[in-house]
Amino acid sequence: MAKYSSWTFGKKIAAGFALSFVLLAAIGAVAYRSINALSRTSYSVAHTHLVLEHLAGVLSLLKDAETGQRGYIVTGDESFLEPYQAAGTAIVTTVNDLRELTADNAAQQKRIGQAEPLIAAKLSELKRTIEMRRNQGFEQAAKAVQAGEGKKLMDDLRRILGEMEREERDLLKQRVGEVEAAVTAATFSITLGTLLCLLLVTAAGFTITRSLTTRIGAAVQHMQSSSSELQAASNQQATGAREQSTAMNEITTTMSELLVTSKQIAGSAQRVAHIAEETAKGARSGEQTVSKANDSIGGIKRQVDLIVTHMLDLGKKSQQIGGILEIINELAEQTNILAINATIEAAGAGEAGKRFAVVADEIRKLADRVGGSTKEIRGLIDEIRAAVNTTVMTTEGGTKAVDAGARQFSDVATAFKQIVSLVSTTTEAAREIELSTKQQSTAVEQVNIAVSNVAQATRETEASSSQTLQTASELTNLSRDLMRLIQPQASA
Amino acid sequence: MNETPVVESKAAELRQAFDLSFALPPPQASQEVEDLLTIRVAGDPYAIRLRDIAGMVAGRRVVPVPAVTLDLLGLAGIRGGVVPVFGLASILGYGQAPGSPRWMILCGAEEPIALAFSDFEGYLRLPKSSLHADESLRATRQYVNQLASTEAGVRAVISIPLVVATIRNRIGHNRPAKEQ
Repeated sequence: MAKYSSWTFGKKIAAGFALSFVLLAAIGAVAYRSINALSRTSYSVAHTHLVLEHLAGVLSLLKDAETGQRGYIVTGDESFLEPYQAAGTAIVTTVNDLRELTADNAAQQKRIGQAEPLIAAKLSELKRTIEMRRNQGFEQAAKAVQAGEGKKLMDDLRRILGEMEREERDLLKQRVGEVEAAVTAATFSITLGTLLCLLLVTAAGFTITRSLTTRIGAAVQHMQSSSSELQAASNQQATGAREQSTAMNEITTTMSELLVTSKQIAGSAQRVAHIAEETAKGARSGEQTVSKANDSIGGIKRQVDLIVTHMLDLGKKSQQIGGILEIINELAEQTNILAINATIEAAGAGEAGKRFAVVADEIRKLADRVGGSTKEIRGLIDEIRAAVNTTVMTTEGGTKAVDAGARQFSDVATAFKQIVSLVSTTTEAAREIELSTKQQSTAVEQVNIAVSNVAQATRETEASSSQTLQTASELTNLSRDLMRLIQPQASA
Repeated sequence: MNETPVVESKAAELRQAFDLSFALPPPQASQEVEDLLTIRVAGDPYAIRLRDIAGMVAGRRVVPVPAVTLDLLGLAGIRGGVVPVFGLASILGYGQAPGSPRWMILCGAEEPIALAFSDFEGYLRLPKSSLHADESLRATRQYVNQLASTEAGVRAVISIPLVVATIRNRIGHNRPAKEQ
C-alpha cells in the first residue's frame, strides 16, 4: 500500500485505465470470439436457408416449366411456353449453384447427382410433349401426359428434393442450436465480463478517487494556504510596490537635485583647479623666495660665525690686556710702595731728604693715579669682557636663532615644495574631480533616465501587484471552491 | 664706544700731571701736615702715621714658626734680614684673620718687626688740625690715640709705637732668662 500510495496521479489513472483496457480487451475478445462463432453459425444458417431457397427454386422452376407445358398443351398458345422457356435456362444455373452451395456436403452432392438426370429427363419429357402438341395436336399430347411419365419423374424429383430439404432443415436446426449456444455463451461472457469490469473499474475508480481526493484535498488545502499566503504576499508586494513607486519618485527628484549639485561641483572643481594653479605659481614663487632667504640666512650665519670668532678673539685680547694691566697695576703698586718707602727714607734723611721726599711724593702720586687709572681701565676691560661675553653669548644665541631660522627656512622651503607638490596633486585631483563630476553628471542623467524607467516599471509592477493580488484572491476563492468540491464536509 | 676717548683723556691727564710735576717749583715742606697710610683691619678703617713706620712691603712670604703668642704670624725675609711678622688684626683684638695678610709695615730700625694687614687703601696727607687726640678712646681702643677727620669720614689713627712697645714688652716678658 505504501508502494501504491507513492504512485503518481498519472500512474494511478493509467493503472485504472490499463485495468479497464485489459478488462475491455478481455470482454472484447470474448465478444469477438462469440460474435465470430455466431457469425459463422449465422452464415451456416443463412447458407442453409440459401440451399433451401435453391431447392425450393429448382422445384418451383420445374413446376413453372410443367405449368407452361400444360398451358400450351391445353391451349396451344405459344405464350404459355414462356415459364417453360424461362425455367429451362434458369434451372441449369440454379442446379449448378446448388451444387456449389452443397459442395461441403457429400450426401447432398450425391442427391444432386441423382436429381440431375431426373431434371434432364423431365425437361426432355416436357419438350417432347410440347413438340408433340405443336406437331400432333392436343390429343396425342394429352395421351402422352396421361401416360404418367412426367408425373413419375416429378415425384422422384420431389422425393429427392424433399430428402435434400430435410437434410438442410436438420442442418438448420442444428446450426440454430449452435447459434443459440453461441449467443448464450457470448451473452454470459459479455455480461459477466461487463459486471466484473464494472466492479473492478468501480473499485479502481473508488480507490483512485479516494486517493486523489485525499491527496488533491491536501494539495488544495496547501494551495489554499499558499494562495492565502500569496494573497498576503501580493498585498504586501502591492504595498511595497506603491512605496517603491513613491520612493522612486523621490529618488527621481533627488537625482535631479543631485544632477544640479554635480554640475555645481564640476564648476566649483574647475574654479578650484584654476585657483590651485594660481596657488602652485605662488608656492613656486614662495619657494624661490624662501630659497633666496635661506641663502641670505646662510650668509648671515657665516657672518655671525665670523663675528663670534672675532668676538672670541677680542675676548682673548681683552684677557691679554687684563694680564698686562695686572702687570701695570702691580708695577704701580710697587711704585707706590717704593714711593712711600722713599718718603719714609727721605723723612729719615732730615733736610737732605726733603727734596727727595718731594720727588718721591710726586712718584707716589703718579703711582696712585696710575693705580686709579689701572682700576678704571680694569673696570673698562671688565666691562669690555662682559660685553664681549654678552655679545658672544648673544651672538651664539643669534647663531642658534639663525640656525633655527635656517632650519625653519629649510622646513619652510620643504613645506613650500610639499605645498607645490600637494597643490599639483590638488590641481590634478580637482581636474579629476571636474572630469569625474562631469562623468558623474552624465551618469546621473543616465541614472535619472534609468530611474524614470524603473519608476515606470515600478508603477507597472504596482499594477501587476494589484493584478497579482486580485489573481491571488481569485486563486484563494478557486482553491476554496475546489476544496468545497473535493471535501464538501470540510468546507461546510 | 666712547671708552677709548675716556682712556685717552685719562692717559693725557696722567701725562699732564707727570709733566706738571716737573714744570712746577718744588713745594715748600710744611710742618703743619701729617702723612697717613689708610688701611682697613677686619673691614674697619684705620690710619697709620707714615713717620711711625720704617718701611712698607707687599706680598712677602711668611713662614710660620712656633710661638708663645698668637699674634706672631711667622718670619719673613725683608731687606736682607729675617723679620718677625705680627698680625695687626690680632693685636687690635679682631682675632686671627684667615689666610696670610698681603701688606706689611716695618717698625723699628735696629730690631725691626713687621705688622701685617690685609687691606691697604692709600696714602693720605692731612693737616695736623684734622687730627684729634681723644683720651677717651684708650678705654675702648688700646692702640688708638687720635682720630683723623677726612672727607670720607673719621678714621682711627693707630699708634704704631704703642703697638711696637706692647709687642716688645710681651716678647721681653716671654723671653727666657738666659737670653735676657
